[in-house]
Amino acid sequence: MTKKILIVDDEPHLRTLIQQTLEELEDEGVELITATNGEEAIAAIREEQPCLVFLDVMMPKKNGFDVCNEVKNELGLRHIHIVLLTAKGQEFDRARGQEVGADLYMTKPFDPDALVAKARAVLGLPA
Amino acid sequence: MRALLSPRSGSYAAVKALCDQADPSLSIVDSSGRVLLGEAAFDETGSPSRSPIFLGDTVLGFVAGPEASAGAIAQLLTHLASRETEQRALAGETLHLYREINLIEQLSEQLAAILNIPAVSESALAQAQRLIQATHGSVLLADKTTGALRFEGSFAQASGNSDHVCGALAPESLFAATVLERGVAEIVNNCAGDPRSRGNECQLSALIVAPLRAGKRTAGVIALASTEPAASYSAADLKLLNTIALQTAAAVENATLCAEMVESAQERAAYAAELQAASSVQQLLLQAGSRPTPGFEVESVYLPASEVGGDFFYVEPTPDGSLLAIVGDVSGKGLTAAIRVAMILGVLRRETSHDPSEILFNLNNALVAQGQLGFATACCIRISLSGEFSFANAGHIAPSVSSHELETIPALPLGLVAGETFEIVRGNLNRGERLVLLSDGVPEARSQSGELFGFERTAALCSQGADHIARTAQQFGQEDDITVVTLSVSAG
Repeated sequence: MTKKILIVDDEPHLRTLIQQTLEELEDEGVELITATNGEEAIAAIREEQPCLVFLDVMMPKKNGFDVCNEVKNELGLRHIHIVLLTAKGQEFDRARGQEVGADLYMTKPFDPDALVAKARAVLGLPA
Repeated sequence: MRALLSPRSGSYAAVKALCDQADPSLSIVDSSGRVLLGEAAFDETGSPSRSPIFLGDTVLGFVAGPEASAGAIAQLLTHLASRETEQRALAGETLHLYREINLIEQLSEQLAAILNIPAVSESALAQAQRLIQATHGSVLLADKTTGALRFEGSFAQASGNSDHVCGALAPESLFAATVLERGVAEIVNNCAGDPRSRGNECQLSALIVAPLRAGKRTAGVIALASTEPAASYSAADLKLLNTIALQTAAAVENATLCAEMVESAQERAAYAAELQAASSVQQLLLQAGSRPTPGFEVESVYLPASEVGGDFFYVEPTPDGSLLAIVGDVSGKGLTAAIRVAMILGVLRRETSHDPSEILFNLNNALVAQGQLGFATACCIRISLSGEFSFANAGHIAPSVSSHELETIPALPLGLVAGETFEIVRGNLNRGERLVLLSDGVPEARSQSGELFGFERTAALCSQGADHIARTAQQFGQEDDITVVTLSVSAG
């Protein structure tokens, strides 16, 4: 079964940056999927069952906390590893992140090396 | 091509719709012949028609089918490939900046937590190596006194015979000396051609050196170099190294200040311990100078203003049963004064005369002979068992009997003029009366509001015991050493 990573961000250039950062994993059989908002993200998670989701917190309609809560607590897909992405300087609500079941949070501008390392660790790929 | 025509890509749907509209027989293959869209309808000879898709001069693939449609789609894909490449280049540049920002942030966090110069240097070099390609590196710090550079950290990747930091990055490097002197970073992309490259035995191709500036001072340099033949450093590398250098310099400054504070605290602790030891020695010396004299009541109190003091007293019996006492105060404070006191006590112990005038005469000459020991005031008194007394005074506070200050003959303090004589004053101490010798720490005690204890209060206290006099003055506000010696002839 193909290992999939879902990238969710309403900013197209940030989706591109994360995608390009993780592109090296495609050679190891990983499939990268993108979603542009919270609703698309929920649909993609239901349909594609990714192992790992990089999820922007600040998004219109349904924000990252709501998506995470729905996936982890309502859909019961606790095995899906969710990394919340938050903007630098923006106070991250740790308590809310914990409450909705997020596994980790990273600040933007993210560290590309840390992003790849996290993905490799979650997918069980060699470092 | 694969990214451009992946079914998940944004351009895939548009290109497919165009192909279907133009001619359903159109197909697209990559340069290896793999079909990306449609069905392959041509063989290796290129039949029926192959329109190439370019990226610059490179052929990425082909569009096969009727020439007009295939040519148009190939042109569109050439344009899309060019746009995709530009976008990827921009994204790559942004990711590079992201990486730099994060590494610099990590360095800041690391350095803020380190208060040890070698560890600061090691972190700075490790982070610099991650950001800037280099086979060699060093951090050199300038000695604050001599200005000479010294190694604080270095690395060298083993490569051929260059597995050590070569002279170009060592303390004697002329590149480092130039940057240290000018305080401006420098790139040298042709090391071999630079006249300063002596010591370049490991054949560096390029090097980059940045000053470690903390305020106006340049504390040292950080240097990176490469032996790769094609190595070349850019202005961007220079900016990065300068950023690392600024953070490193601040961390080095913090670590230096911290080390100085620790050293200073250790020195203060050692000095305090020495003072404490000196204080114990002085108390022992003074106690040893006071010997019990039958037929007299003697009380002595010595309260130094700090650990050691400049007051002294000495009491001993004479062969005829009289009592000899001397109280004095040397100039200066602290250990210097304490050493003078020790010397004076030594002179008094060796003194054979029991005449107050002679004793002060001899002590004065001894102090003058020693030279450089400052001066001392002293009052020396001899009392017989019948209460008759004689005393001589060398600039000291006059003794009191029953709260009345005795008249003294003015004389210079000890240690100023050789051969100075000190005249004798005589008197009688009745039974029940108390003769008081003290130092100026009593009348010169000063309250927090600035009021002096003064001679009136001192005189009023002089019928009391030594401990009461000394403690009263101390509680009023001690400013100087306090010494009080009281003498009386025992009843019966």
